Amino acid sequence: EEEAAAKTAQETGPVLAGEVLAGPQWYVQEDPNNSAKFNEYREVPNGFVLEFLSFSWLPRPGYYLDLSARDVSQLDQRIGFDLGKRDLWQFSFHWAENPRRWSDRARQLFTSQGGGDFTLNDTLQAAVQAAPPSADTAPADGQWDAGTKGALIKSAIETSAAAASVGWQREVGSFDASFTPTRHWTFDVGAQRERRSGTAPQSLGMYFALAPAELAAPLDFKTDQARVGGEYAAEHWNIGAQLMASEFETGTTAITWDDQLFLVDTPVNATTANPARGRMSPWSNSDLWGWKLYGGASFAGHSRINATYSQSTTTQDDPFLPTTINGLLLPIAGPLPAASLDGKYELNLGSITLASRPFSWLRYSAWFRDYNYDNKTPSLTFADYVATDYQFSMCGSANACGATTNRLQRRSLPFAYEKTDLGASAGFRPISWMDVIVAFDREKTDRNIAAVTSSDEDTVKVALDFDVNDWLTLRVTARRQERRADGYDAEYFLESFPIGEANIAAANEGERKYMWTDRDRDSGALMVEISPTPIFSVFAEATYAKEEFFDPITGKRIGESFTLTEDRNFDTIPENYTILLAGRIDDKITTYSVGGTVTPGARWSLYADYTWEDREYRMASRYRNVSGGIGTDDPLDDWGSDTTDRYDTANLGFDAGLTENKKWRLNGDFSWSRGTDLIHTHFVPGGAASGDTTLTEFPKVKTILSIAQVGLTYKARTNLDLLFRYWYEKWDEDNFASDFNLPYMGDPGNDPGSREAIYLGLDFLDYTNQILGFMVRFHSP
Amino acid sequence: AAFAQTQEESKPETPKAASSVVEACGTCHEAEATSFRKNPHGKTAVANWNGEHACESCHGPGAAHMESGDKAAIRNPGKLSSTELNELCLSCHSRGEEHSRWTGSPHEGRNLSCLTCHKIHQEGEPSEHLMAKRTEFDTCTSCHLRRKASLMRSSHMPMREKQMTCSSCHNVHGGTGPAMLRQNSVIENCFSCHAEKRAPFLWEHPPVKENCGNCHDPHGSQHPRLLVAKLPRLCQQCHDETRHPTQPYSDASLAPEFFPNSRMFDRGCMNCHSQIHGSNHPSGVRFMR
Repeated sequence: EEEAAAKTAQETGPVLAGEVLAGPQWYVQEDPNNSAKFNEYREVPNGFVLEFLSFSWLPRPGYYLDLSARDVSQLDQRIGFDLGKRDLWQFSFHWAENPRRWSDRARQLFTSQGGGDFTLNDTLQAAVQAAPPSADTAPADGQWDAGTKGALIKSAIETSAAAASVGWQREVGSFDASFTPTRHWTFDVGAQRERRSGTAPQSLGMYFALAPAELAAPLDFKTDQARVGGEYAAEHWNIGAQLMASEFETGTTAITWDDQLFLVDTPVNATTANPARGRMSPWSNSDLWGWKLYGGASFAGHSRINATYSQSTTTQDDPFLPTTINGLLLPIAGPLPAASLDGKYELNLGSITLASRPFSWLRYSAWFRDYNYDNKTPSLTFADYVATDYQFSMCGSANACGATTNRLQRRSLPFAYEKTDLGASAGFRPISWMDVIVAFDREKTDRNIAAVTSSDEDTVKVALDFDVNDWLTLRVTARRQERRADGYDAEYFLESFPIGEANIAAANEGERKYMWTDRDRDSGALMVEISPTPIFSVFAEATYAKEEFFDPITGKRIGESFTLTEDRNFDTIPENYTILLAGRIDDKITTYSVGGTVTPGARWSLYADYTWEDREYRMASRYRNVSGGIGTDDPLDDWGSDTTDRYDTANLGFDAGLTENKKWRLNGDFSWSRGTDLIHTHFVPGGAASGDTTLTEFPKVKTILSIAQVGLTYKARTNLDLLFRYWYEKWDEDNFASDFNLPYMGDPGNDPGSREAIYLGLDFLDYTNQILGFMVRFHSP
Repeated sequence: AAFAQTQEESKPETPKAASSVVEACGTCHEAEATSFRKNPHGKTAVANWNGEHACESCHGPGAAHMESGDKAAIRNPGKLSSTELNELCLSCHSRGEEHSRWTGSPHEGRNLSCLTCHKIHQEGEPSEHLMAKRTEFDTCTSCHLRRKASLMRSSHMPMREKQMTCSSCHNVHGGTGPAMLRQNSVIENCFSCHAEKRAPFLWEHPPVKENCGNCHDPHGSQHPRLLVAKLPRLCQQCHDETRHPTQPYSDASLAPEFFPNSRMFDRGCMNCHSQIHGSNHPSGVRFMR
């Protein structure tokens, strides 16, 4: 009784508790220094770290104040502060931040003038504009001849490009409060501000005639969110409502940059001019507000019905930038149809679910869901456009769009869709150790701007769960999905061309976009867990999914051909046209996982697992300028590619009490992951599709991440632990897409399209890090 | 969510009353009582709808058991069927959007119980949300092993860095979106953090507004930006009418060193079509402005 009284007294008096985990850590090997990949989302300091801190104060019964923090003062710190009176009200304040780094070695020739404005040295621009084209003739030594455009740009990059920090910091602060005046009512309110500031890599498309470029664009995002809600709950039902609002602001709505090839706008012809500057619209401000009603009721037979209706509206009305920054083209560009988009879409969701378990051996559920992306953005028609600040897009064929002096018009097509889902599921337990589930679902999708405006997808699922004994559990799932479209309109986008396309282009009319084709998908999963004894457990998982794509018109598989008989030359005699169905043929994803745990006693535990995953994608296509004319079937026109992604991942961990009293404890976690990617391309060398006389294969892509962490803990006192830690991490990548990335990429023999280009040279360098740490954990008993 | 009782309601539920129940049970079940006091259940003074609180809110009336010592004279939630156990927990946790859609959810339909993922009585300091494993990530990946593997890939969400957890995107108790997402759809889920991509644009790229998963695998990839396949192959899955077959286009392809061309290196197609998520520029129809 005395002991109980003491405990009660302890509960009623002020209580203080807490924990601190801190100490020094050192990089004993860091190669390269401060690798951006290692610190991609975090900071791992070399020195003292306050890794964890918690503090809890109960001033009197029911009242509490909690503070917790991780990685204090680091770029990835998280701090939480909660206080309140239990069962009545509570406030929470949370702060979190993390970095996002993009590269170790970026260098930038452009100079930021602020506000998204980037310039090059005028002298360089003038010299490049006046210089002869890049050539490697005098001497032909694998370097651009001195004084040519390529040589000047390469030299400028090598001598003047400055190291660029490409990355940003994300900071999130939030506040939440809830008030529960009675057991029936709950009210809550919350607000959050997220900021992202720094830079992000931005490529600057410059069309074929001009050189591409890339820079570290300013990133200054602010997203504010607020919500308020209330709910009434009774014993068997509840109903709630919520209002929400959000505002996204970007500090940069335009990026403007100097063209490395021209100091001043330079005319080419009446509708083409080399621009001295380029300008794009990288981000747009937006607002969102919405509301939601939800509720549910439980009734006899272990049954419940839940329903939700929500609606949100997102708007964007930033002023349009002018059609082009090119001073020679802008005066002759047609007026914009509006000063801004006045864009708006609504997202509406209505869902209702009924679930019941009337008997111990039977359960069922049924659901209906309607999700509507209702785009109310106006469709605008633009008299012309200058895709890269260089050239009006012109009509190329009188048959296609009238006079060849016509500038192409474009109309925006606000995309919208609605998905309606109806399904039911039934579960039976015919015998105590076996459970059977059968489910059917139909999802209907309607779209307003698409090759397929209406499609249905039926899903049949069968699952078997076996709980044969306490030591054996087996779960099997098989699923068949069939997606069928109402047809396929390969020219659905033509309404975006009010006067027609530039040409009646030679095209492969059998092209099918996989999102909208007919599709059969078969998938299955098998999970097994075997625990023959309390100290040993083995588990395994295998999954399989295969997708095959079909033409909604002919029903044939993508990759096959069909013959079309039509009179296209108007001689009253139909001709035969062989059309290849082009696009994604099929995909296959297979995974196998196996793992186990061993816990021979309270002092020891061990776990390990291994996962293999294979992803295979196949596609086929045909060159659009078919050599023998549309409809001819010549292998020289065909091309395709298959890709295979393979992943292997292993994990191993242990925890061991080295002494009977657990004063000494050793634990370790080891993981290893390897990914490879191989693209196999196929076309006939010398054929029309490639124009390439060799069938060059892509190099294999490979990434390997290895991590080992070992910790030794000594429990010095009941409230004091001493920890010694060792952390090894190695990252190794071979990737042709980034390994060769340099600020200058246009050396002779390299890509001709890059000979006057300016890039950042983004890449993460491989690293090997070893870190030792000596930590002290002090905590209340 | 915790709640308080109004004064006019009859059943006494003071901290002292709750505390006395724990004290009584702790006479024999000291370890359980100690752990109970540390976890959220032990800190609330609220009763369930039957007026039972503290230990009795889950184990039911304990008087008969206390008198006889008979294990059968008290409810053992660990021995209940998943249906009974879930109803027991939901008798308090049915409110709010976090738990109220559990019945009929995919996990419930597979006969999982609350105790599949949560452990109420824990040794030492209770884990966050009373997860059965050390962390939420460990708990989820004890079944979803391939997700655990995918997070080890070079391009991943910052979960290994402890900036996110599974529940940042998923409500495993049942949500209104596909795959138990917290939001109503994949796009809304992604836009909840990546708000810069949510605006209605003048020129839309339909796959972006229909499903981010058309191009990105949020669980991890070896390709930059969580892309599901390597560029330019990813784009060619739809845009295969292009004159650019999937080939290296390397002028130096015959030379000892491999130099990919601008369609292949860095961001592939996005080196030129950088505004692939949509553009608000009057000349941005090809996503280059």
